[in-house]
Amino acid sequence: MTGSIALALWLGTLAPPSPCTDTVEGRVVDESTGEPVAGALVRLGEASVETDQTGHFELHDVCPGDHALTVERPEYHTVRQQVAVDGDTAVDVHALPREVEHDDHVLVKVAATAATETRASDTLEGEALARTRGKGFADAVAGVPGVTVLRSSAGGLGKPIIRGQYGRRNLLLFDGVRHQGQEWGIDHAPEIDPFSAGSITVIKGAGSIRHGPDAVGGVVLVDPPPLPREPGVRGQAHLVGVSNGRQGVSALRIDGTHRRLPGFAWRVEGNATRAAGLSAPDYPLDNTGSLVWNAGGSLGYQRDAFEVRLSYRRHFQQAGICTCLTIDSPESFAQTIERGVPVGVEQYTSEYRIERPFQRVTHDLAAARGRVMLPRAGQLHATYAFQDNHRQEYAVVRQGVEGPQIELRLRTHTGDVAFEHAPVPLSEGLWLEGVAGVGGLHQRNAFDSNQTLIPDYVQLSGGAFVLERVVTERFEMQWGVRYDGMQRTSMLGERDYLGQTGTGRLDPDDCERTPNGGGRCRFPFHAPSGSYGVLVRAARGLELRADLTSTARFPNVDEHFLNGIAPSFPVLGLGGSALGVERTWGSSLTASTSHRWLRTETSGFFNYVDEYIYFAPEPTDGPLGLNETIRGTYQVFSFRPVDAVFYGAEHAFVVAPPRWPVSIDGQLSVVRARDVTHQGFLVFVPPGRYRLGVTYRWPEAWRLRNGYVSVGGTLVDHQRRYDLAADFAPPPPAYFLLGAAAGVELPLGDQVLSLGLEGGNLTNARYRQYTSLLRYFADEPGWELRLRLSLDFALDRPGRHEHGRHEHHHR
Amino acid sequence: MSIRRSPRFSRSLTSLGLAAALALLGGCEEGHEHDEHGHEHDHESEVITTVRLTFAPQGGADAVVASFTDPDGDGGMSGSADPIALMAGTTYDLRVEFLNELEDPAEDITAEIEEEAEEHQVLISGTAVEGPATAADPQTPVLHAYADTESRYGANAEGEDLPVGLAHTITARTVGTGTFVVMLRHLPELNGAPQKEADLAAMLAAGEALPGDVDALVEFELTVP
Repeated sequence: MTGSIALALWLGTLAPPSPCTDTVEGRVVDESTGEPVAGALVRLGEASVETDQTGHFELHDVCPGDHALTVERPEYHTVRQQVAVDGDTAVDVHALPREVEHDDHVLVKVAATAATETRASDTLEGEALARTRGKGFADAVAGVPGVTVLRSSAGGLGKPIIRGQYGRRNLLLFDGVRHQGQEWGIDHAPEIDPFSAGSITVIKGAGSIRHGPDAVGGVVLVDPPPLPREPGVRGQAHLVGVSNGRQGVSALRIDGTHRRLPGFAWRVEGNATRAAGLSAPDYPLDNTGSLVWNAGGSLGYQRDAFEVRLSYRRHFQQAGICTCLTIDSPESFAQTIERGVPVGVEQYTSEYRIERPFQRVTHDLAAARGRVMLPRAGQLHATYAFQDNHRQEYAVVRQGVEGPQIELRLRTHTGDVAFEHAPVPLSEGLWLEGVAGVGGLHQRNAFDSNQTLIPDYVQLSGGAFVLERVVTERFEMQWGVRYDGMQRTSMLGERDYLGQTGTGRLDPDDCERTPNGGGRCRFPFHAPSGSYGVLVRAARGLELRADLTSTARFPNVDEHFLNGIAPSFPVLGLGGSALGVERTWGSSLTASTSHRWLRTETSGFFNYVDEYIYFAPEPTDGPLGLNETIRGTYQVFSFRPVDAVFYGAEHAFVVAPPRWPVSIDGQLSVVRARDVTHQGFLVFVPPGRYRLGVTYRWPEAWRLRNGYVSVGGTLVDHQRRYDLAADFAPPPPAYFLLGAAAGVELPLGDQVLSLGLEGGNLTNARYRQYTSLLRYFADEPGWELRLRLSLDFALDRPGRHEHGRHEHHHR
Repeated sequence: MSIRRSPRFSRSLTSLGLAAALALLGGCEEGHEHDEHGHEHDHESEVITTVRLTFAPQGGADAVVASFTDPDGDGGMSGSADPIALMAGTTYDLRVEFLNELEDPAEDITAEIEEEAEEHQVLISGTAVEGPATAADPQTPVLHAYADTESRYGANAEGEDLPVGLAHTITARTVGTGTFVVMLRHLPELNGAPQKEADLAAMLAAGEALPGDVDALVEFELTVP
């Protein structure tokens, strides 16, 4: 079967050419404004050309027959349409700007003006996103230059590292709502379902006026595809199988509109992933199996003047923690690292069953959004969201013990209102656009365990912002200011309170005593943030962006009050309640070029972080350096302010010569970080990463389209800049990973079936990753094959039926 | 090949979708209630705050008792150990006990270890000791030997009848000072195979990494005046 398809493809390419002398010409216009779109890349089969200033294009020597025409330009959604060529043919293409989609379909994204980003940003969608289906959230995002994964010890989970920052220093927004989970632990992976995304955008760089404080590394926006407006019922189904861990993934999304209620749309979606333990080249990683499922639904109602949308989703994950992560005394821990191979590895197996230790997390998100069009004034957006994050951690215990050893429950209410004013013409070709908004949050966290770690707390915060920009055809300038306030009241139990005040890390004056002997400690913070950015379309195919920001981050509860032993690491962690606002002064410069055969993006950044809150060892000769615990003498780590600098660069390119089926792509990313106060290096800063790939696109043959084969290699350098005093083992050596992928689409009437096969770590390289918690204990997983089957289907297209009488909602 | 459905089918599918969405919303509420109940779970962990050593001289004189205690658990204040002083030329029966004094009254973990004797072992090492878990050194102040095996606490179901280490024989033989280190190792079965093996003490003596997790590791100062 496979052989015959391959043969057919060959025959397809070798078939004698028919007389190919036709010309296809046309014009690309902006669907919303009717203005011509210049510099768009038009592809017809293997040929491609860019549109000129009037949006016009011409392709010569085209063969008669049906051709797939695609039109791409970064600011627009890629247009795909079928063109029947029979003699010289004219085509008109309407390109839908991304911003318009945000305005129109995604109901409430605070400040949906989608102001032109003056920092480096990358969006995964369409084919690029489809190729990540079945991967975890962090791995899906990690294809973007400058983004890597901080891999947790639990099966397959991790969190993104953007420009050297992870966890609390990145903002994750799901459908416009800031994700609120336990993000303080290094092994707390964000509970985000990548299947729900229609696009994932990574904005790299410090500061986010619109989305709130805390963005030191960057912002990840996970946006579901818009609810349908066209009548009918359609959906997507995916089946993914992965060899390593014998993993199976199935996902389904069905969207529909209601026949009798025009403007009413709905969505149901769900997916499930089951994986057995992964295997490193030489041994299975015992107990790394996982079970993840997601389910959700949305209802939307849209009229000309307003829109409302309700949505609910639940994420569940249960992931085993590798048996190789043992709880040990500092001496035995060092011996295990020295040994290089986990103790008892001969007994390791790869099973679906998840045993202690494991983590179980449920995350619920319920949201209501509304948008009102105000005649001539602009648009008003409002969002309310409730998130309930329930995390349970189960340790290895004696048989008599049931239930989790650590339980955390974080409940967050958020409300946001934003007003986008209508563009104000300042003079000919010069517009003022902008958005202003306010938001508030109420959060309650409950911690339950026999040991102290973090206190329960209630947090209230609020912020207000204004973001304005001046827009001309070739130049944009944007500035914004934001003010945030936060008050957190932490309830320390008696033991915790006495321990923290007794060691001088908590001032009793900041707290009032509670009847049970504990302390109620209230800490208020407030700080402004600001940004200034420019974008210049310097010449055709050249865009320059510059950005300056000052952004504040308030200390998290663990940074103030952590008091306990980190699971699996022989470290006693302590907070410091005297810590104040961490301020980042950020700058970045980005250049993008786009020519007929070459597209590049280059970005450099330099951030200075004033009072960067850093988790580092206390001097062992100091009063707090060592702590005698029941499991041995532990090195004490504490959160302390240091001044830090982060700088680096990313570069990405695609060479795609017109009329050639082969393209070459590459990327590199480099980050450097220094503790300026102590003239040292910081830990967990990802080493340099370099990637090179070659893609061959199949010519269309039979009904198979968008076929490709690609081979790529990633080289990850050895981290030479490290501080062994703040770490347990030196960084692992450099490694090289080989990957390959192939895919094809098969249209079946209204449906599109796409198939993908991807291989990872094909040389079965043994390696350890500097930014993985597994690196102290075991090797990373070995080779894997990933087979992906996706079906885009339309169950009903009433437009084709006689009964189909529907309003079409176009602007 | 394309799948076309009648409009009637589509309508029913729409209602199905709505029903599913409502069911999900309902499920949310249920989940919340369940979680509230879930909150009443016990959060028992293997908290040990105290390791108590009772050295009873063979022949009936008063016992020497020394404890390591970390009364506020991990974090907070550092724990501390009492010094141990033994009489030269005396042989002691040593009993090791593990307590959780965060509970009131204190929880005796020793009984749980006895119940799971086949998954636990106490190892004695330190510069003051010569025994199964240390290198041979006739100069050390005390000599250590195990005085119990698994069958003392219950039927020995798995493998050999290995020492547990809740009872020991300590012989104070020469004058001297050194450390006396008590480690409680938890060795649960791994994929159906026992992790507790006969050579565990020898592995510790050789400085090799041990299987299982550490439940307690405390160091005492021991003197034989």
